[in-house]
Amino acid sequence: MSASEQPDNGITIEIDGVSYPARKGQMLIEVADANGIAIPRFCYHEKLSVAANCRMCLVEVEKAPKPLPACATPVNDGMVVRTRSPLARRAQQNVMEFLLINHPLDCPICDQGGECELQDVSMGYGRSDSRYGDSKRAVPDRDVGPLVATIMTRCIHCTRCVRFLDEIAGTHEMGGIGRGDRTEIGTFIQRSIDSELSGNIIDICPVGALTNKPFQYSARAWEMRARESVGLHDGLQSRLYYHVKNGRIKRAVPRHDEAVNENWLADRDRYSHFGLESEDRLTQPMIRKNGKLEPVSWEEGLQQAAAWLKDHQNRLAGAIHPSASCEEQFLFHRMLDALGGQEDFRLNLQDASDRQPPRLFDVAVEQVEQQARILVLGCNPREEMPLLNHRVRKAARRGAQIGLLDVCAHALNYDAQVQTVADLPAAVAACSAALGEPVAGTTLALDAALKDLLAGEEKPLVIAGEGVRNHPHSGWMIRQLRQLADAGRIHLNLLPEGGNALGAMLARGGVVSNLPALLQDAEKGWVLYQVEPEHDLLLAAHLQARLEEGAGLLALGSYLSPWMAAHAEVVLPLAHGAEQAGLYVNVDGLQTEVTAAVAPPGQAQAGWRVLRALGGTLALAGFDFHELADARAAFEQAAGSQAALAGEVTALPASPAGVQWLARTPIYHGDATLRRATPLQQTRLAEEAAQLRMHPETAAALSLASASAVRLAGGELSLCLDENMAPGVVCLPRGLAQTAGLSLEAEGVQVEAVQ
Amino acid sequence: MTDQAATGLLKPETQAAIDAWLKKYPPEQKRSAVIAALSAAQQQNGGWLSTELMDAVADYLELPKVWVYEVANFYSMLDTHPTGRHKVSICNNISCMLRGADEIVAHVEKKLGIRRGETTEDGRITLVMEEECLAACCGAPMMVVDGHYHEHLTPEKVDEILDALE
Repeated sequence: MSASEQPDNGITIEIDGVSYPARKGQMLIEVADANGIAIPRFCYHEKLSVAANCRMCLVEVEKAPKPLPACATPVNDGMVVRTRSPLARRAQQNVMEFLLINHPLDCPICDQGGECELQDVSMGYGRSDSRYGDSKRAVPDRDVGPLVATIMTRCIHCTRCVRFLDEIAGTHEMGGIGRGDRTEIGTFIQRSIDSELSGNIIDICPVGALTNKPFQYSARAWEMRARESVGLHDGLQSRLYYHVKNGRIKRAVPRHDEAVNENWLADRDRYSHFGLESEDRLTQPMIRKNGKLEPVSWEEGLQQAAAWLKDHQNRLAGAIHPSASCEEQFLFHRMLDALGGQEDFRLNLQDASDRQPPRLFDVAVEQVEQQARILVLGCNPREEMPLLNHRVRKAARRGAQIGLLDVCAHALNYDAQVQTVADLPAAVAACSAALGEPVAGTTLALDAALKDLLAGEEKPLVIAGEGVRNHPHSGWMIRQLRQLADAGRIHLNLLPEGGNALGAMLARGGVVSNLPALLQDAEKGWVLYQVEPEHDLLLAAHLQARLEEGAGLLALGSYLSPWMAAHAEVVLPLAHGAEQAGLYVNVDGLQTEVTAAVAPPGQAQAGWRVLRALGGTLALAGFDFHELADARAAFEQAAGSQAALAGEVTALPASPAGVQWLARTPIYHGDATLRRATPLQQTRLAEEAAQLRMHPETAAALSLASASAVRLAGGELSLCLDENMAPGVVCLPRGLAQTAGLSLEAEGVQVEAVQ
Repeated sequence: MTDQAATGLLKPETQAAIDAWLKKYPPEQKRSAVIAALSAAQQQNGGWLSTELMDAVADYLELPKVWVYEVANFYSMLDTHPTGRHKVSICNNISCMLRGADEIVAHVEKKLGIRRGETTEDGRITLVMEEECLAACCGAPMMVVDGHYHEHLTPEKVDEILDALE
């Protein structure tokens, strides 16, 4: 690199006799890592603060009297470093010997064995025997919940987990307790680690002290194959590897991508694969004979399904899960279209006038942390997109102003200006006014801090979530926000529903239908694709009413839900996203081709094959292909021509009278696989979701002030009187057994007090 | 973040002591006052810190609880288990050790019938587990009784001091 190419502050240092360019302020280990020079380390982690407490990275620096830790030594111009000199080697070997004094020699029974940094480094730097004759110390283990197993005797006190929970998760759940050789890393009191990112401490632990609890003792690192895939529980599509043994996914670990999930993985994407092993997986086609679903061959199942589709031609309605692949979305849409039906992927829509498709993020995920002003609107980002929340947290740590405007003051893991409001459309109108675009009829006053945030010099980023998307007036709110974005007043990051909503949008050329409107029509035959109707449809009771009136049901999916068992005429078993090839588009428009990590169970088939076979049987145009690549090409063609959005202007919706019921999807209840992932369902986050939350005043208005729980159609739900909720609003958690099959309408849900 | 019910455990004089310390630090660096706050809280509670009291200090200073646990468990002057009415800490660091601290410790253990880290049955004296250098090397061997330094210790002198404790 010539001098002119060097960045500002460019300097040159010499490591092991070779010159390397570096920047002032970099640490020695960063320069070494960037140039592929191996320096052993345990406590250093590129995404965490420097602790310099393991001392494993000691190197010789010319003119320094003693070896220096490479992780905490800033580079200087002309610095001469030796990483393998006798002095450096001796220092590294001595540190290794000290670290192994109290570390048990239990590698054969340790889950980390074979992928252990301590094991690897001790092979290179350790002695073949131990000179330590005294007894080793033992540290009692703590139960920190269903996701992470602790064997604290193995801990070498690198504090990566402590720093992760402080700096990245922001939950400060572990610390170094005690002192000197009696220091223990732990929680001190008996408690679980409840961060939504907790599984990452397993990855960063350099030894076997923190391991994957549900995976424990089920496979060795060298027995598994890594398959590239993506997480499909939010639109971020975190890059990950599924580790596979004997045709089963044993665990998931993050795949590094700075633009998406960095080195991290949310617990939701890490542990959801356990849901794939659920007992109600569909493994064979079934048709209804004498009122009962009975297994049949694929040939018969396809014939019956095709005949059913033909019967319902021109009165078909379809619902497809937004996490289905682009090819599936495209073929499903093409099939329904060819048969004169309508379909949509926005399952949680309530507003029958909302025809606003999802849109790409205005500010790419990687850039969110650079924003100076961020308003979180109708959204709990920790639950909706945990690793986007991490970017917001990074922005907050850099000094950004963060605001939260929602019906609930969510427990964020950074400081924010919070205003709770019952009437979200009025809040959007108030934001609009603060941005210089007044809306007639606005009466809600925005807090001065939020006004200040919006009116600042730099364009604010608005992150809008489920509270906007699923609102009874979502159409008006999203249109208003889009107009503000189009007018250059805000950057808009509208969180989409499910894992592949952007792909779904592209597959339909940017034109969406509307399920609430379709559900008004009694004469439809319903095709569900990877949809568990009881939980996945916000207007589930509407569908149930249609089914009970005699509407037909054709279900294609990975799981058999009770309603499918009761009503479906034909059920076809599909592979889950991890079990088939497919294309996915994330919120930034990044396209990822995924291959099958494992084969689907039983006779289940990849969705695109089933759709192709159905289209072929019905002799529909555009289904005479044989390879997935053909479907992908057709999708890409559709994605190339997107319709322009019609921007009709309507008036601000009137404020609701009385108590307003809103639906929120808890973090581990968003789709069929999550709801079946036992380890996630055992967490405190899942447990706390099973509550009906409302302000004490709201409870009084509903005559529930003295109740401890409420009875709903599906069971009892404990009542949580929460001052953080805006008065006049009830948050109904979706996806629970107690709330299955409910429709959320303006008048709310019938509840009965349990004293 | 401040939990009213929890901080209510701190008596007004404890809160006043913490407030006085907080004035010495920038408002965003309340963590600096943890040691002083824990000392004040320990004093109101007869010499030891319960988990509830540590939580109250954390809430009062608006800090993560584990940061307070870490400090309370690090310093030998802070106890997280009930102690006797008097705390006796015999320095065992290098200067005192060379001047006979080990014999003093052995003598006291024998005299009180307890080991370091234990409390006499009558709840009169807790012999602190270990005490590192207290910067009184010129008077080694030394010990601290309830915050007061005693230097140039001999078994006889120790007897006199301990016997005077109520």
